[in-house]
Amino acid sequence: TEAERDLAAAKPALDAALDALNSISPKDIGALKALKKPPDIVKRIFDCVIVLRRFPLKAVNWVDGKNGKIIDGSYETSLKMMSDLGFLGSLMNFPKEFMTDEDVELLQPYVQAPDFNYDAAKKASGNVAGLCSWAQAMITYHHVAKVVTPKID
Amino acid sequence: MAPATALKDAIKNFEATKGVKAAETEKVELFGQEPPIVKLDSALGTLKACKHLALSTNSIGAISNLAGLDSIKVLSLGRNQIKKFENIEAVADTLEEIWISYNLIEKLSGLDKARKLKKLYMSNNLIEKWSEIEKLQANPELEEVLFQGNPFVDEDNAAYRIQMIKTLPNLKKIDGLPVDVDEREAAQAAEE
Repeated sequence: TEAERDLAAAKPALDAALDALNSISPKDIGALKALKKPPDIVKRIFDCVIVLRRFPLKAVNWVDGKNGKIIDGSYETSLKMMSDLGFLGSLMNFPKEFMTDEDVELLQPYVQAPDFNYDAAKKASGNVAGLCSWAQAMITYHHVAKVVTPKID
Repeated sequence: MAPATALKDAIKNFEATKGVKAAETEKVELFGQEPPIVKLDSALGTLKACKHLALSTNSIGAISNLAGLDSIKVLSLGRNQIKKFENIEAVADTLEEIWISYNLIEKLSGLDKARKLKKLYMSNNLIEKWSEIEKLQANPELEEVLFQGNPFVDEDNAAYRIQMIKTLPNLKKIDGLPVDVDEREAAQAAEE
């Protein structure tokens, strides 16, 4: 059916997101946690994870980043998430059907940054760049599902 | 004083980036301005065609000057510094959705005027008491709420959802998740 075809359009992004998550090991997370000064793109990627999980964020504060002004990351929340042994699993099983249009709007200031992509993140941070692909795939899924779900109902 | 982007300049930025006239545009995107917008002013009144006003990810301190937003359905104010609902009357005839997660709201007073309100998204605010939720009984059309990350939300998610349905029986979705038949029955049983 048309709905099935539409939903299939989101599948490559979702598969890529799962592959990206699978490429991240607990060791990668451990190494990241040990960094005193994580690259700013890592902080921004983790802010996206915070938004999607509806965890606490700091008020907006623009600071100087490597490539211009960026929103200061809510890294305390991120460190807390990383301390949870189930962290990567919680993203694998993320309830993406429950996302709202507001969640996606709150992600826009992050994902619109020119350096918010897998390659730039990979260069700066190694395997945890997979979280960048994951966040983008969640947005893609939400947009596609919004068109498709009414057709299934 | 910290630097800020004036509303009229944010509107100009949007027009330049998208190549549109804001006054004729249904979705006006003013989110994530650097430096942030801190104040809403009468420049809002020029957005006559706007159905979705995106003002999230700024540092707006209060809701004001909504008069003139003649078509508005979705008011998006997430991730600002707003402490209360006020001055909503000006858009009460059309407003259907308020997105205001990540603010500093403690009370739900001031929403009763929004008679057409269907969706209220407000995760990560400062609501402590269930008695605040009872105030939403004044919004007959309300069908979807999002309250994750507020102090009153119970760790026991099942009990929290049942209590929410008991308080607001018309809800169809809570925190993004549809209310199911079992939950509705459990809420009714708890009434008896």
